[in-house]
Amino acid sequence: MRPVKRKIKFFVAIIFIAAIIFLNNKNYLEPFKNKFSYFFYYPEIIISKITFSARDSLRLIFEIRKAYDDKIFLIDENNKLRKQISDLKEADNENKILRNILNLPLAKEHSFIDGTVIGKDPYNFSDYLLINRGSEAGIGKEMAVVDQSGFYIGRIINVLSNTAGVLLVTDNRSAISAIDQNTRVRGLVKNDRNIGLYFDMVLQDAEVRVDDIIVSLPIGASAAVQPIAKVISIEKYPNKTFQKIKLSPLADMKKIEKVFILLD
Amino acid sequence: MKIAHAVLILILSIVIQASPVRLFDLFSFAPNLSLVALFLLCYFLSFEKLLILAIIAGIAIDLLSSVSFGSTSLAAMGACSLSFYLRKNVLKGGRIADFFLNSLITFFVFYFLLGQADIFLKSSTDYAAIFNLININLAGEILFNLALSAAAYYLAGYYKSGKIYGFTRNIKISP
Repeated sequence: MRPVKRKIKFFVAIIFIAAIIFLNNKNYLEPFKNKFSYFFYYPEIIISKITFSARDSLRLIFEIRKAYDDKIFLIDENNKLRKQISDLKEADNENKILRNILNLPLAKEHSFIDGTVIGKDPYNFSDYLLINRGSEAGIGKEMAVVDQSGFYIGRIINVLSNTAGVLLVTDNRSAISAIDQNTRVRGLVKNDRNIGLYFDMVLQDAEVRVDDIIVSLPIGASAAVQPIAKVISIEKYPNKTFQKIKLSPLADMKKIEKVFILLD
Repeated sequence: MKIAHAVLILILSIVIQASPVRLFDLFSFAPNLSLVALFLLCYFLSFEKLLILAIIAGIAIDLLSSVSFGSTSLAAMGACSLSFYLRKNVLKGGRIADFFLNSLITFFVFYFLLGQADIFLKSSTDYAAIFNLININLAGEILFNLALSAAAYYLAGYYKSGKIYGFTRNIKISP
């Protein structure tokens, strides 16, 4: 085949893709995308079930020793948490009494939809999950997503009729407005070139301590405040504007199977 | 190779690549099966079939990924065309070194085009693909891709020639 003909075919293909992009931007491709997503829906569910069960079986072999160490650690942790629960119950009662006196409504319970992870982004550099709930289940863009422990893991960025895409907090493109639960210092939780999570935009004189919990601020479609990460190290530089605060996400991002999408 | 077979192989690789747990995830990085499959299928297809395959792969991957719709089609078409051109005009020795160089250039160009297309289509600069090009995860992925491609290439060469040895011997698997 002559190179000239190849060039013509190449440009025809470019024009075809440009047309697809144009139609997609005008939302004419939504019915097609919804139908096409069903094509991947069932194979992904089957493969996810197989891989999750295979992973669990393999993990069982390697984690017996680790489970024993964890048990000792958890007993200690459990005792501390019992004490905290007891204190929190007292604080809750006090809170209710004070709200009654001030005539304030009680804190709103959050309604949510549960979903199962059926896929990941085909690109390895992206932390993006596909879940088996979409617009038919009432899911919309920018809704907050938490794991079974209530830890913030990301937000919805793509919605089709039966699936939705969750951009995890560990993705390079994610930036969450957040606050230190103890010192009330505000900042942005973001990933720095896949190295790790950082609490960014915190001025040098602001007080943030190691082990502080960073919680999300109610922004976008979600009014919920959810814990995101724990501070693990702080570096201060006199010649820079912001501190370098490294975080560790509270949710285990590699083991997420079930997610909960907050509707309010 | 028939285009239907190529599409079937590609769709299967995309479904596996998009599954939640990857069996090859031994380190902090993993290969991109769909990209490796697309690159290898280019060796068995004519130019026009290759363009069709790149467009189908792009649409399928973009439906499952977070990059803007159309980015992968553009990147795949550019990278596959470049690979085809290199194979036919520059790296036409058919040696394993030519194959390695071709795959390295193709994978790098693919991610570069993907990052640029995504930035352009989103009309913003929030995408960190350029950072990812120097990031250890992507560097590791490209190495993994090279290893997988080489293994597949060697197997294909063995399938064609019937000999298991001769890594430096010329192996031509062009259509």
